[in-house]
Amino acid sequence: MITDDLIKGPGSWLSKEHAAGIIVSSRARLARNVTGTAFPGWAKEEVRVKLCGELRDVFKGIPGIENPIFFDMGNLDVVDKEVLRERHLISNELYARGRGSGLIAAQDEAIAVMINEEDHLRLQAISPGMSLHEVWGRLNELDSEVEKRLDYAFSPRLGYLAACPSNTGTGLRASVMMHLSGLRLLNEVDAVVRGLNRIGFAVRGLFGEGTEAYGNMFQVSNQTTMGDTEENIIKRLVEIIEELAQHERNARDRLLEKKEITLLDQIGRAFGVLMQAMMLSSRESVDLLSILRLGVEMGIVTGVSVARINEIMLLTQPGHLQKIMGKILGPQERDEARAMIVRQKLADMRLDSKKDNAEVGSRLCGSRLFVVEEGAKGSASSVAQK
Amino acid sequence: MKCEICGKKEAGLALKRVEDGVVKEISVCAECAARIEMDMQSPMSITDFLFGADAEGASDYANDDKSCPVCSMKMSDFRRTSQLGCSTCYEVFETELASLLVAINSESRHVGKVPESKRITAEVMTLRKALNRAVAGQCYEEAAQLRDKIKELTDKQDMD
Repeated sequence: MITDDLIKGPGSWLSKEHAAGIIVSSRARLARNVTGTAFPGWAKEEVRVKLCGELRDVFKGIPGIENPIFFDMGNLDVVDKEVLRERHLISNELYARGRGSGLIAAQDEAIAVMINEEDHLRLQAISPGMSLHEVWGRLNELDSEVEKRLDYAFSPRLGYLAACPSNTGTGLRASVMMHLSGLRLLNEVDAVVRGLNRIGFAVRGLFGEGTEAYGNMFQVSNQTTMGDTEENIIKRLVEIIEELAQHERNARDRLLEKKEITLLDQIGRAFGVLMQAMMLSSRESVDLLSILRLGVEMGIVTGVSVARINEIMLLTQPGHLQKIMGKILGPQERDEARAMIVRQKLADMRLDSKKDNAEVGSRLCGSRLFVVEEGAKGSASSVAQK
Repeated sequence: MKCEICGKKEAGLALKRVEDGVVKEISVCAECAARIEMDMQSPMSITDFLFGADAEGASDYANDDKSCPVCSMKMSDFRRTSQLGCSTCYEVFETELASLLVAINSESRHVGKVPESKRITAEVMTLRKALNRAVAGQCYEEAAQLRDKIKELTDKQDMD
């Protein structure tokens, strides 16, 4: 099975070192349909199967997708589908579909096309870090190639016609994945999310359903698809993301300044549990890896890269775990396998000892929260005597 | 201003909803807005919310349940699934969809990308609107220029 090759590493959009930091990745997708055929949710299975084959042929040798791989949703087993979903190559909706739906993905996963999801075509492009303009450029080029080969459902007044009216217009949903653990530790995420909603942006957690985000990974996207050009939609999103990233940087500075011990405590606990646990649930590992990631981004944890943490986050999800272990695993077996992979992948990790002892000690003594008895032993006292 | 749903808390948010085919804006507090948002994730669909999910509203549509000649979807199907049947549905249910599109986007006009093959059609449509405005405003010189431009474009299209 082709997913065997996929699971050997993360997609290109997660592996590059510049994925490090607050802005994890940038993504854009276009909803497109063809005229004369019912939308996938309303079409009969035979119609979907026939169209799926025709659409698949459209992408053979198309510029913009090197060596495309095709996955037929009717032939994939549950674990393979799960792997594709965990890699964000397919949505929950496509996951639930069978015959007559499919996925075309570039070898490096930087571009993917879902066939007969909610719309006939969902074209998507993804890149690490803040790269929305580049991502939109690539996606727009692919779309222009597809448009030469298909008769898109388009109305001069309404734009590209989609199965759900909320996508009609540009059909564009641009999104950026952000790691907002500083704001989360200061309990400021909810206020930020409300503010973003008010000015027309949607915020969703990457893991977990609805608005409950664990792992502190948030996806911010545009909500409207009419009344504005694609370039303007991208430009506004870029502006708001940069502002949000600045908020997160400020939050991290404030944490260091005012809540250093709390911060170091959280990071230290994450470090300890991840290094020693024999069983880790999916929820626990994602939450701890987020805190660890914050430690790496702030230079407190060394010997491990953000790319490595991205890789672990992906490989420890249920589909990937079962693929790696080569068998179907029950919940407890999954938790054991997850803990094992985490320990292996983090083996070279270190906590920055200088921060751990000297700085914290001096801060505690300086603030007189901590009275060091004369003659007491330990690093705190040696700092205090200086 | 007080929230128009609970009438107690201060309203800080504006919500749009469609009542009798007209978009109305109501001011609500964050708590009521959150409750409505939760409702929107429940089995009640966004179209129910936007069209007003009360029984009266439903019977209005039942009286006039026309279907799409291409895919035979009815308005009642759309209210159930929140998805249209095919691209022709947008013409068949144009009136019903207009207020929904405004409620979602606050605008209901596409100003973005146009496929190469549809570019002339789109441009001619814009010019025709400008022509109507010019005629209505008795700007005949401008109207004549627009008419010539439209002719030029449509001739070109015929040649293609």
